[in-house]
Amino acid sequence: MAVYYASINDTAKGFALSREGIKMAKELNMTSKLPFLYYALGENYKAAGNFMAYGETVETIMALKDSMYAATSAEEKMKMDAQYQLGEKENLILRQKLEIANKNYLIYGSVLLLILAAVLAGLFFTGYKKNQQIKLLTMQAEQKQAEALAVRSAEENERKRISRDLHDNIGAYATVLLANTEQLRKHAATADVKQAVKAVSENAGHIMGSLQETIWVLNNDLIKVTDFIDRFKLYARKMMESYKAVNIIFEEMIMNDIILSPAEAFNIFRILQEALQNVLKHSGSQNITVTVLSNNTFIVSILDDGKGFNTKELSSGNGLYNMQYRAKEAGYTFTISSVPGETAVLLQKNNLLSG
Amino acid sequence: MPIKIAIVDDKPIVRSAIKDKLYASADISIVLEACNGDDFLEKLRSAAPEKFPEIILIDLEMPKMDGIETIAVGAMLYPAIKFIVLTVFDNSEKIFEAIKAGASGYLLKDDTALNLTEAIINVYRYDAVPMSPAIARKTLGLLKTGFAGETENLSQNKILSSREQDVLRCLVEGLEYRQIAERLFVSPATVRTHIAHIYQKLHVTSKAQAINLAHKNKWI
Repeated sequence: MAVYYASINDTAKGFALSREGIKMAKELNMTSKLPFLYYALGENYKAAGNFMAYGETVETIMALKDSMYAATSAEEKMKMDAQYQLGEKENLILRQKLEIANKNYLIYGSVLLLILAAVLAGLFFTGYKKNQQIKLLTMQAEQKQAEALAVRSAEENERKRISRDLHDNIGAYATVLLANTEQLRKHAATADVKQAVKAVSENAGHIMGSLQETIWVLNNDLIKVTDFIDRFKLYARKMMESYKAVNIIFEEMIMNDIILSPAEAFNIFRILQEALQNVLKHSGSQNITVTVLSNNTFIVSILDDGKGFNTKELSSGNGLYNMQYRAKEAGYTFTISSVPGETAVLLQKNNLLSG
Repeated sequence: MPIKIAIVDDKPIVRSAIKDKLYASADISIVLEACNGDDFLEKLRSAAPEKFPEIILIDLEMPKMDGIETIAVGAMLYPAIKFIVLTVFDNSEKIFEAIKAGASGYLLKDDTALNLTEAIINVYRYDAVPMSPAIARKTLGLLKTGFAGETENLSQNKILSSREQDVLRCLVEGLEYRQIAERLFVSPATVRTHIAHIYQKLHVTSKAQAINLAHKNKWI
């Protein structure tokens, strides 16, 4: 405005306005406006031709500008300082934040680590517990096994002891008894004494025979079919000494030499003995065939060409019932079929290979 | 001249029963009695020539030195002596071991006097007593797996001839000499000879083994 007055050369109004402006600006401490006001004043001095005042005004402006520069730079500096300090603070805050964050991380990490450790420990502990449990179970199983083994070995020892006892004592006495009866027979004077001695001798022989079979069973925990039938051949051969006219043959088809338990072997052996005795005593047959088949099925049969008998008539109270009972006990099927000229006793056990 | 025999059994009662059975026979003379293998070998050492046994009846289960060891050592030290196993119970496993150790067969203690006498004479004259089906089967089995391993020097004469194998198969079937002879179209004497050979071939216990046993029992 004052510059306008100066340009239209109305300097009086320009002076007044500039001076008033300067005064106001000084009062209001608006230093930044002062150069412009002084400039307006200076222009008015120039228009008025007062170059001395103009020069002074210009100097004032320069001084003002200098001071203003200094002021601004101080202000700037302050501002910058403040900004710097702020930055510093921010930095500090950031750092603190970082530190806090770091601390947090540390805390979180520690917690996480703790949890992980706990989990691991837990896992380890359960694993350990499990291991301990397994160990305990294994130990228990081992103990059980050892116990079973001990029982088995005790049983084994007892069986051997009984067998040895029978062999050494009863066997020895039975041998002597038989020898004695033989002597007696030679010296028997009368017919009835001879008869009595013969009976004693036969009974002693039976004791010996039974004893041998019992020892055989006691001595073996497992009996092979071949061993079984070979023993029956010996028995048959001995029986045949009293039946010279009868012919006996053995037929074997042993593809699988199965194992019989002692009890099983004992029962089957007794059945065969009984069957053979029946044939020899009652059938009047000339030819006997003993057949053994051992594969998936185990079959033993005694076939004779004697007169046969009615299988229905012989129901109980005789050897047949015993044979049937023994067969059942051993887990065998027992069948007997008879027509004149062909009687068959058959013992059978199935599914041996399938377990 | 009666056959001189010895009885080796740990039970006096059994020895006397066997003696009773054999006394009646003019063909047999009992020259020595012992209660175990140790005792037997000891007595054999100091036996006078006229009292030296030719055939030994021996029990298998005895204290100190059992039948099988005694047979192995005795057969090595005195090859001329023949051993017959005398047993209450025909445990084929043990009898088979005894035969391999050098026994010429086995008899049951409850055999009749006649059977015992006959068997002793058979062993003396023909070197053989009948072979049971179980022993015959084991012999065939041994043949299958081979005699190798049983002796360190397997000689050709330990291998069974096909005829001997035929005889063994007949024995497994439970046939007697007479029946085997009929089946194979030979005389019973031939069958007996075959069986004697089989027994000889079964004597497979090695010398080294016998020497070890003798050492163990302090007999050499």
